[in-house]
Amino acid sequence: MPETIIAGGLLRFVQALGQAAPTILVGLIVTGIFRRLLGQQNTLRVFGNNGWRSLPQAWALGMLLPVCSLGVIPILREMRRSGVGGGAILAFALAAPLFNPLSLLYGLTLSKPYVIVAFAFCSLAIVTIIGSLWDRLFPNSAAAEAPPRPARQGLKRMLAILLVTVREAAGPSLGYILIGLSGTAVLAALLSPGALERSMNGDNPWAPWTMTWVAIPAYATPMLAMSQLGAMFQHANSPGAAFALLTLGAGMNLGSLAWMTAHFGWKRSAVWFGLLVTVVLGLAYAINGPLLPTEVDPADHTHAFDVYCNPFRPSQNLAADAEFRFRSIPLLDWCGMAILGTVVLAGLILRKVDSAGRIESWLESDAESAAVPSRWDVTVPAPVLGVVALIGLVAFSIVGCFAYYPSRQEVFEEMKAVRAEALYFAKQKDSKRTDHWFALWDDWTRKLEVGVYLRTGRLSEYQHMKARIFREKLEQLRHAVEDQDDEEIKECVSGVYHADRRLQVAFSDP
Amino acid sequence: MKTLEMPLMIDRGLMLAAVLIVPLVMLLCGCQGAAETKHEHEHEHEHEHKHEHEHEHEHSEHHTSHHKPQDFRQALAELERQYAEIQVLASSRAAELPQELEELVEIIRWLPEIAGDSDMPEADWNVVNAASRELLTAVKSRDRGPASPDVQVAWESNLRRLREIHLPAESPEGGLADQ
Repeated sequence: MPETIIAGGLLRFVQALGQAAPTILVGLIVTGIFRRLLGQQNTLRVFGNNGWRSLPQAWALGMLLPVCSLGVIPILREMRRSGVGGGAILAFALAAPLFNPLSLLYGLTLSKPYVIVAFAFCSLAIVTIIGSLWDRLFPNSAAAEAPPRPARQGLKRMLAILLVTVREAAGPSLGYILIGLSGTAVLAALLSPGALERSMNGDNPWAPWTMTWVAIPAYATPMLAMSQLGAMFQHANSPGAAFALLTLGAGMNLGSLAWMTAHFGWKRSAVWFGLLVTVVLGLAYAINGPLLPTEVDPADHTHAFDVYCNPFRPSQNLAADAEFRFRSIPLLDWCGMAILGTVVLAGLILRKVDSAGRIESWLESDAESAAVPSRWDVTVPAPVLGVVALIGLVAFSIVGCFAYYPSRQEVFEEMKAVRAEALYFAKQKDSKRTDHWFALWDDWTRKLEVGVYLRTGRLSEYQHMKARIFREKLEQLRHAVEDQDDEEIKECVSGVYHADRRLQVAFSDP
Repeated sequence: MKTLEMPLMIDRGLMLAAVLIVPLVMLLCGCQGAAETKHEHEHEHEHEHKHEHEHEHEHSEHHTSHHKPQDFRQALAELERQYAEIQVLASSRAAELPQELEELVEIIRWLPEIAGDSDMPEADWNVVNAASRELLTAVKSRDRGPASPDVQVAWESNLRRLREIHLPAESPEGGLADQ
């Protein structure tokens, strides 16, 4: 039914935009910092001055900055304007969305740590190999533009950063971001519900191949990709498919591909894309066997990739279901979209009323005429401010981990509320609402693990096992609700009860 | 570049997106096939449910083997039974016993998970976890067969540790089950 397809695509579009909004805003702010504080020369220096260090430096900076594959687009544009070479730009484009302090912590507690470390170094290998080959094939790919005049110190400099952010939000970056989001929407419109449930099984030799072509148009935040990685290892899905999901699903989207094509041309972009897919698939198949977990029972299906498929089935009450799902989008996501929307609107207004950049000219006027400084009026050079701002951003994201992964007491309180709702709907055999609350409950158990690890420096195998067993019991109950089997539901509720109690005992203070 | 970028970008971007959609559609044929197979599978699964109704955890057939022990005591009993059988078989056969060992390895591997699905305290669970690792190493060792003295010593000492674990009675359900 066409309305089901349209509704599914629209829902995934809005969900992806909600998840991406914060990191898009971060990307826009970083662009402003690069342009108005660091300046072209220092931006070039940060990315290795187009020397041998450019690729690993781009990778390292990308790993630290909390941006996604959509939020990285305005930064790529600024890197290009600053004269950074094509190899380093493409390396940053791929590496920046893969990891950040939040997702790295999440991953270290989900899967075996050596897997996450291996994946991180595989990503370094990929960006280095591809970037080096690409630079060799297409040298002198830098294309610097004339830098803007420096803005006057003080408030005007801060305003100049804001203007860059706002104009960039309503500029070409907006178009690329919309293309990226449309990839997710089209994917969801075309993939029927449950289409990927069995595609990534560990014994399926086509799993890495399938995931490669699903992941390219899909949009996944670093956190989503990491949580799916964990689910894949929990169900003994294909490690090669997990690697392809992380590298391509989180690392890129159609928008970033469109930007590359617009700036480097069809031929160069096709070469880069071909190299990327070849290397990713090669590595995916190379690790598929050795990393396949042997200590877990393989599941014959998983719901981890339902998020890329259409959530609506033709037989459902579409209007009611759509309303429920739109209402289920978290409030914080709506806030993020509202803020981003405001910034975009401001940018569009600015384009209309001041397309010639008169405001920027006013901010830049008399920038070099030095007022007589007083003893207390210290001039901080813009690059220093820029570096401090970038370090501050990274530090903020690390500190943000403590807010995102709360203490165990806070998590127990949250779980109490979720537990009541989840079990109520499970006993009502309401499969749709059960899925929603169980996903939240599952997420809280993972936040519990990370929160404890953050604050104590360790997570025992016992605690990890209890959390894992709890999530399996939750999944059994979820399947029982899907089957609408009263006896099975009753039994599984009991299983969840005991597993939840044991989880709380394991994580409580001794 | 700036004034041309927007329309050029849209043109190229949309064309690129369209080009990528082609292999995606081809891929979807396989996924749709899998989805149709899934629907067939669901009908088969319902059929299987009716036949296996006497089995307590039918739905966990999705994830667990039918020979997985229900609790720690059962797992320990099964472990001892299978090991004794393998000892008898190993003494009469010169070759390896891959099939028999496979099930034994599975049960050893499941031990920490089965023990974790109980009220066993952390200290005892750590014993089970360590014993499981040592037993796996002993059983999987290619240089020593199941009947070799080293393996037997490893087995006896770990089984003794496991037998000594006292499993507390499961707490009754509280109001949670009635929520």
